[in-house]
Amino acid sequence: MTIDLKKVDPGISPDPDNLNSEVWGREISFSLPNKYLISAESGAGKSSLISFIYGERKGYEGDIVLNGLSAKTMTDDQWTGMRRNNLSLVFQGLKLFPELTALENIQLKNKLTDYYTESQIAELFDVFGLKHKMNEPAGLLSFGQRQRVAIIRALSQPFKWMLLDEPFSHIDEANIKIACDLIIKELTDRKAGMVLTSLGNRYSMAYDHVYNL
Amino acid sequence: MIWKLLRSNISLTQIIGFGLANLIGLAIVLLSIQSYWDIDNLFNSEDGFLSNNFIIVNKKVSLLKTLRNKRTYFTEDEIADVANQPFVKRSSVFLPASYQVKAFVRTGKNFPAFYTDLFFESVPDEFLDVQDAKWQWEEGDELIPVIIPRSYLALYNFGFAPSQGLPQVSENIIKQVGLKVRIVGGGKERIFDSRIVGFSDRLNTILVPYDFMSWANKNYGSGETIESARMIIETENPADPSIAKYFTDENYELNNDALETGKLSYFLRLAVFGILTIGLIISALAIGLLILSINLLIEKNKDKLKNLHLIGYEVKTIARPYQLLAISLNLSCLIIAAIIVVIVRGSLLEQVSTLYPGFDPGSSGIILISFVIIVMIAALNWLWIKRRVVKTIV
Repeated sequence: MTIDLKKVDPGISPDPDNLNSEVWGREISFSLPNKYLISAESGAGKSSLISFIYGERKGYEGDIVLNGLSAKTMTDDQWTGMRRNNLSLVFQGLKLFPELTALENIQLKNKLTDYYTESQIAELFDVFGLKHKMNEPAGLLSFGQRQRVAIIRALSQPFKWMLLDEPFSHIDEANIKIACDLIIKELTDRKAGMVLTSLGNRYSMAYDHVYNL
Repeated sequence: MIWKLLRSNISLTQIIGFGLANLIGLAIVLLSIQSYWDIDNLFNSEDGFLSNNFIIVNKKVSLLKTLRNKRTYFTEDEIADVANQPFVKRSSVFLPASYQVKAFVRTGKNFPAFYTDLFFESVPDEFLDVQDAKWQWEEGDELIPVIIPRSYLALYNFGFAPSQGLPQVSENIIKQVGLKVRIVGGGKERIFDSRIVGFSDRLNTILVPYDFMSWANKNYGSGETIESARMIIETENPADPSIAKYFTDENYELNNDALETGKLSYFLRLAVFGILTIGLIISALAIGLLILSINLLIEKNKDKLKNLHLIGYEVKTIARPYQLLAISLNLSCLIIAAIIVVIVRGSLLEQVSTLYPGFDPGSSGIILISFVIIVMIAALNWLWIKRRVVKTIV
């Protein structure tokens, strides 16, 4: 499954300092099982790009083709299928449900496809050092803890592409290392690709291609 | 787990408000529909207590006609015209006798001997309100069954008998009395036995079976064309204003009982219809309130709904808790309303049956109506909430 960006333009008035984007207005193809880094400063539209690919926002020019389907003409049910089985996203805003416990947040996602068993989920919490926080409401966790829960959630489904929108901003070095190792392992196991956005930090991961947005 | 997420922001006050309003509305709707059926049965069933769909028509007797000895007969055209009116279900003329009739009792042991001139008329059996196995006559039968108006007996018992020092008689006694009837006409005469077999509230005349009348008119008649002065009409709806208009225009007279009953039933139905409308309005407002509440709920939980959709939940799965909430609320209201109606109707029917013993109420269609209503409301809720959720999150 490839992700083709066909002259995608967010449509906002272009930043005069940023006319040399390697992504906006270009023809780009993300192909499996490569890892891509989208690097940019704040405000360049990293989150916009991710939300365009994920189908969360549709107000842009050009088109994105996912697995041969145009993002602009896909039905809502096709998008749902895409998000259950092909695309996994760690939202920048995390989008966890604060009134549910950390574990329930994962279960809510996991039961769509029954990807992990309960013990596998507990294991993941353990890897991130969050086992003791599993049954606390997500709203009571720190942002860094929540980011890790969001990463676990993104793994709790089958996918071809993992999209990560500034996923490690509030996580300490040690836990970033744990997260990166885990993600790389999962990507290799699943023969999946990754698109990661960051302010410039490469998080000591090897990328097949780096784009400056 | 979705329910745990989505139930927050549910306002108990709004739900109770909706529940009460909808309960009242639905109870009124169900009760009025049920009452409509019961009233309908009271007036319209074949032998309903107040059912009276028969109208008797005659031409007006005027001074001029009396002086000129001109009869008030219906012509063939007039009879056909009446029969062709849209409100007429079936009609018939009163078949008069074209021979003379004398009745007498020869020996008066318990009953005074008398001798009197009499007249007979006849109408087809389907217009009769008396059913009796003895009400039949075939050529060769010596006994003619007779039906007299119940009012005649009352006249005798309460007017004539006391003033003449004669005994009062019950219906059963008078049915035992054998009368002799002499019919004279066409230069012949013949004596028959006769017996009163029934009393009519509807037909104000002395009736003999139609078969006898036809036979007697043929064999003892004067030979002239038999002309009728009265007609009986059966109508579907005596309250139909076109009936009164037609007969006024034609300058005919009618007995008004049927029309009065018709008006009564018309006004009762009108009242029930008015109450039904009020019930429907209350229910509609209540359902509107529920829809607004759920609207608000969806709006308040908008972010959660969107997030659920973004992590891969289908719109229909997300909408379902709200759909089930709305439908179960409506269903509980309806069930309680139906129970209330069954209880209220039970006590109402008890009172009605004291007034009209043996009153046979309309079928209790509450369950059927409730089913229809709940299916409609459920479909409405289901589709509307789905649409609303789609609009909010997609």
